Amino acid sequence: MLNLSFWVLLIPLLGFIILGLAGRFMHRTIILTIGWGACGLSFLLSVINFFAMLSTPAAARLSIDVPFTWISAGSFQVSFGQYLDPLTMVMLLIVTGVGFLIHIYSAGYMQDDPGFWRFFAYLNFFIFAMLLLVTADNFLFLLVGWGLVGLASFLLIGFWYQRPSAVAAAKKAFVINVIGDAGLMVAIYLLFTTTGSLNYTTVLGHTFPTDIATIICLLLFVACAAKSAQLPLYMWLPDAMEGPTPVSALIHAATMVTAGVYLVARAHPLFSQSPAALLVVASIGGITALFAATIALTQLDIKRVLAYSTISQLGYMFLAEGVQNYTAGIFHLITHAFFKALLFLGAGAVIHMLGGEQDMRKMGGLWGKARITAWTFLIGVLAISGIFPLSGFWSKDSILGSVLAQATTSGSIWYYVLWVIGLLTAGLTAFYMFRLFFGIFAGNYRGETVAQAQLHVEAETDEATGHQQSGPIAANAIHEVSSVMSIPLIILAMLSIIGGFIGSFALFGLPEWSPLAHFLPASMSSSAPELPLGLDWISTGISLVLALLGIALAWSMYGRGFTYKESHNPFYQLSLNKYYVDEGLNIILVRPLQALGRGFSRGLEDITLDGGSRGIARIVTGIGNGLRRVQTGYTRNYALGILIGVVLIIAYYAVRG
Amino acid sequence: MTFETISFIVLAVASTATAIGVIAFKNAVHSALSLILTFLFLALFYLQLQAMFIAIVQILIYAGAIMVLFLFVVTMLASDQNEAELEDHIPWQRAVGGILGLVLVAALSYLLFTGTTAHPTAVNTAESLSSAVARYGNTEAFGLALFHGYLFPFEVTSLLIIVALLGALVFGRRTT
Amino acid sequence: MPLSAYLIMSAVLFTIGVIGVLIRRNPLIIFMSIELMLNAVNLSFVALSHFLNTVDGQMLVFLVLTVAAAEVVVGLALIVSIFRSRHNIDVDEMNILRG
Repeated sequence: MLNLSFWVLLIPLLGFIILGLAGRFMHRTIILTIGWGACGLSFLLSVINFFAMLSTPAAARLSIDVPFTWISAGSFQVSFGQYLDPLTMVMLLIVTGVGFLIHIYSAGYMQDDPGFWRFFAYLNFFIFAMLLLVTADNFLFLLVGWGLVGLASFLLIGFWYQRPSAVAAAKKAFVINVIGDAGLMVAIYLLFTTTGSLNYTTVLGHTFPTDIATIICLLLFVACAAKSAQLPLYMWLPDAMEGPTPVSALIHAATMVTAGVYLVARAHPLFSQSPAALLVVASIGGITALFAATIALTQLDIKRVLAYSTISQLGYMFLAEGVQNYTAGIFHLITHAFFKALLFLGAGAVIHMLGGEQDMRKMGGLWGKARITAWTFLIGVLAISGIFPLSGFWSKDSILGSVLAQATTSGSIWYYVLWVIGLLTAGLTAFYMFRLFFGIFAGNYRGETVAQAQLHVEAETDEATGHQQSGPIAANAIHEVSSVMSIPLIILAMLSIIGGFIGSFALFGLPEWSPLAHFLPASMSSSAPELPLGLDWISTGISLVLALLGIALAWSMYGRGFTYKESHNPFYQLSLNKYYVDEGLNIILVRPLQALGRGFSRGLEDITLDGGSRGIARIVTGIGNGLRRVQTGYTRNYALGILIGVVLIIAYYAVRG
Repeated sequence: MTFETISFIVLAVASTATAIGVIAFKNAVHSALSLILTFLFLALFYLQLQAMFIAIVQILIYAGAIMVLFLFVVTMLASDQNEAELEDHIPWQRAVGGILGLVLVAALSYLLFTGTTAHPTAVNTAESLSSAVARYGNTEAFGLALFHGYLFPFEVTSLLIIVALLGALVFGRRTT
Repeated sequence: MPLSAYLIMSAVLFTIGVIGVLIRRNPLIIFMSIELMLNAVNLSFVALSHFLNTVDGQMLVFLVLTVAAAEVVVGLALIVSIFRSRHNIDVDEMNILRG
């Protein structure tokens, strides 16, 4: 079968190298040509390869292309190979496709940023890293891609490095990601010691003892949780909203954070060998989904609402994978990539319109002013709320159905709990997404009406820092975004509508129609229990009703415009302050570590090490001072030294006889 | 007591005395003259050891050329300098050096006296010194050996002399 | 006379040279002492040459002689140039390398 993934991989790398080295001196047209071109060409090749794969019989859809061997040490072989199977194909299409749309959008969003070239170089680098992650044919290159993706994320979160908060967020993301990387590394080490190889073909075909499989899977899941922002390693994602909004859309919603979902799906033969690990995956996923949703209820920064909703939706994906319906997880990954990218880009458009304003309290009333943004945003909100027949409905439904199926098959109460959590989250999601929607678009504009003309043009933003808040925008100065930004919105909106149709239509009596399940390897959904049609309807119906209830509640509360009321309800405060997790961590982890560090700095560094080295230095100085006296400067003294030596030698022989 | 023994003793006493004179005279000119005498006595030693050519060279080059050079420099530079008037910064050096010198000579003498055979087995082949001398005469034998077995060191020595000459020129040049 | 007599004679002359180097401060006399040491060695060469009945010892003496000549030339040139710059030739004054 045709395997173009090497070229798919190479082109963004070239784009990054060219832009990174010479972008500074390029005209923006050339930057866009290279930036868009690299990603677009990559997407084009992926599409070509996708059709080549479709025309291949399902059994022959795995292709491993090995351009060269990287390490060859005895029986240990690591090759730089591209593993192309339907799962990788899906990821390739998502990464390059959504990535391409976001590249286009960024041209508008980053228009006036002095780091324009740098931004596109980073974007291309990110695309390369992500593609390396999904195309690797062994765990070592997976790790390389994994780390590079983290690096790209770090660079892009800290893109506005003049802001201390952005730098702090970048550091936080990097550190937490590295915790995950460590887990992945240990898992890889265990895989190697157990199987003697790191290639997917060998490792994934291997049968492990259950306890080893559990340990490996849990370590892999640590990496997944860090990358995909699951409990307890989710803290970095909301802070990552410090990056430019297209980055939030690309990395922190559509692609990078799905790496964890991809890894679990990729390693599903391994996870299937460990029921315990699967239970952990499902539980963490479900709890994270609910946890993040409750935080999202009260957030005021629109990007933070979306960030928590991303965490919540990723929780859904892991929930699906935890009940072994990997196809459903990937399905939700795809639809989520569409509607979450759409939502982020829409939010970006709003922020762009309002000159950098991200606070919902200062928005409102944009419905009439920005029609395209409003409509596409509405589609995204409906999709994520799981309203029929938008994409979110299908994927969320298949996840909840799988959980219920697992519950009925196993009879375990815990899976029923997870199912209820999933349903509850669906209702909460609908509520907070519509709260967000009404907050932005309904009612009247709440930003102060400032007449000064010079304030309203984004071009006047602080040149050095890019999208700094330029103060309130006058209501009459708000206008729809340019077409370079709205076209990606429209495309993504259409995808959000129709994206769900690749899922199963079993609900409507068409069990043959499930293109995604047929495309992906059969093992990815075969082990998931089937749900009787009647129960499926019940699950779907309840989730839909809950979603509609959520929407209705949001309408009743915020339909005529968002009003912020200071509330001292403890639950409200808990949610608003994100369960005080950051503060708590600060007390239980950061402060003690800092104290320990200070202790070490004083006890070990100052006293022991520095004292020791100073002591050594003093001894050496003393010896030197003593020896200095030997160097009298009198030549005759030196001659005497020679004579002493000679006499000693001669005397030795004389005495020895 | 053979003639050889008598002459050895006489030469030994004389050369030791003049050598001590070299290091004992306050005046450098006297030292130089004393050294010339030492060299002459050494030449006599060489004669006694039947090394005619070396003896002649010793007189011509050492006692002649080199010591003339010495005397020339001494009279140019140091004839008016009196070492005793200068302060000795390391007076203990004199005592230590003397004692160590005595130890050295004692140890060496002891080693040489106990460690060497009085008349070592001489080589007596056609190439040996005595047969060559008998055949060609002393100087010719030396010359033949020099240009047959020691050609390369000989040439290297000539190179060394040229370098020394150039070095002396460089040092002797008046710096501006 | 036995070989050891000549060698001990050589050792005595050598030691006198050593003592001269150690106790004198006039570089010219130190130089003469060095020449004395070289000649002491020459004496042992010639003695050994005679007693071993080979020409090699004499050959070495010849080479030592030429090297000594070269050394004297350079050494005296050095002394002259030092005298030019410092106007005295006390070796104890030449101690700028003192530690």
